[in-house]
Amino acid sequence: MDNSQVLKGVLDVAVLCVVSEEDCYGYELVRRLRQLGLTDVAEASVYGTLRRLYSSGLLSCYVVASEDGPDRKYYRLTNAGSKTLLKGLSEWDQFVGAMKAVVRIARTKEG
Amino acid sequence: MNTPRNYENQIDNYLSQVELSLNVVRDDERADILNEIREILQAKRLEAVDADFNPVEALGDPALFANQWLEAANYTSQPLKAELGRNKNILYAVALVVASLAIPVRTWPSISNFAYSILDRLPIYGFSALFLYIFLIAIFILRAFGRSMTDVIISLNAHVRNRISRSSTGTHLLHFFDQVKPVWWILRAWTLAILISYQRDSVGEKRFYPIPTWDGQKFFGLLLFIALVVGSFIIGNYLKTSKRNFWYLPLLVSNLVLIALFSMIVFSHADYNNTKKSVRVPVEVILGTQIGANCTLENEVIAKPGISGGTIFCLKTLKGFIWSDFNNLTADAYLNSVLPSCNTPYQKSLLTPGMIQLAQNYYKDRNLLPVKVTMWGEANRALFAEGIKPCSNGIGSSVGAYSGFIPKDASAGWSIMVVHKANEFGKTNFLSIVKIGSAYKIMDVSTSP
Repeated sequence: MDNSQVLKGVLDVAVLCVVSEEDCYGYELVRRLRQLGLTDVAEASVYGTLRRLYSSGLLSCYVVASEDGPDRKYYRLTNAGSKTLLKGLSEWDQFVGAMKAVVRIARTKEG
Repeated sequence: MNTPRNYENQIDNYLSQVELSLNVVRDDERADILNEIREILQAKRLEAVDADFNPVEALGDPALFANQWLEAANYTSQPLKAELGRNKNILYAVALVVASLAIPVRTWPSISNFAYSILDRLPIYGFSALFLYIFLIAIFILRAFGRSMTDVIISLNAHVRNRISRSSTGTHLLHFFDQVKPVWWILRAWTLAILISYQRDSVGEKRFYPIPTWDGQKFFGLLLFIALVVGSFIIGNYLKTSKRNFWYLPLLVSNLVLIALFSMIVFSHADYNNTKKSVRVPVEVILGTQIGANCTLENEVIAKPGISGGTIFCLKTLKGFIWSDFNNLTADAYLNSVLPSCNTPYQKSLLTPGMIQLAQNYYKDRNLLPVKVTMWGEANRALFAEGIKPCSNGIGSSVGAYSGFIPKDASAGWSIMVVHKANEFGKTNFLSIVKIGSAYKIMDVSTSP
């Protein structure tokens, strides 16, 4: 299965989920997503998504100086972001439920 | 193995290539994205186990990276370089040729003091040569790399910014310059206002520096300035918040030209205030460039056009500018600044570099110092003009003045005039005398009608 296509559809929710747990900067977010199993996630896609979510007002950001390199931009979930996340999770649950039902048909037939 | 320097260069190159694909992004966002890529590279490097791991290579093709970013951020426009075809590059090249020739010709063709005060500071044919060189360098770069002009300029710009951004201080410095851009927007509006004033008002007794004028009126000049500031801010904000488009290169070139003009305008007025202390000259009139001074606009004894037999000078008095017969004049910075406003018939020198060299060698071989003094006064080397000036306005000496030379070891010189009255003008014979040590010596004999 081409995970990258699936990722495209759910990256917004995935990003919002991780940021809802704790404010984080771009690369930290990439690292967290990979640790959680989304190993195919591309840096460019995550950073682009962050930019879009920020432009839509779902994330806010603040800059923190870094000793290792350039200043880091930390992202935080806004109220609008929280509402969108809840809506996204609900849609995800519906999608997963539907997919489980679909998959169950195939499994039953195999079994 | 990557040395730190090689690695930094690789990052700069990578960022430059990414930037080329980010033309559809606003300037401020583009800087952010490049900063984020640095963040990624830095993090990748820190977490690498293998010493030979290269984070730049790990990021993959820069164009692909940029496209992924743009897609995720919902940018759908085509990159600028795809929009600009070869024909438009030819158009830019033609525009540059026209600009490189038209700007110096159109802006400085009039016989104005301003024009020559700037030209005096440049080598012969300086302006045309300057613009021509810029154009030739641009063509050379284009041919060398076979790339579009916009791409070349964006790459250069990106490369410089990336190098500066390597350090935190550099990043802050760039940020600071971005913040003070509005100051430049005001300065370029002022530059334009001054240029317009020069074009309209460069005759008579009007002054338009530092406050521009319109038909001699400072009030209208200020209105013009304010209007230009508003325009400048509109353009500045537009460029700051819009993607790179067709106007990117023309506006960039215009900005560079304005920066050059701004420097020249300020520079051409800077040395008017060099002389803090007035110099009282005991004998007749002396206004000249001091020995050793740079070639500059020469504010000297100015004969009123159309006057023959006698010398009348342009003076600034409490009643304004007047033409006056000479007695004593004070050569000071203020007079230096106001005399050109008397509409001096300033002429471009016809001297060629070969002629100048020949004359300089003539004096050098004989250990002589070419001087230009006025009237029949004592040749005080500390005050009088010296040298052969390709930028001379050709009116350096007043009617009856003395130009010539003195030995370099002379402490003083005089010119004695003998008049043979043959008609209403008479005929004049000059005998030049110099003092070397305690002895007097006749240097030159000349006559004039």
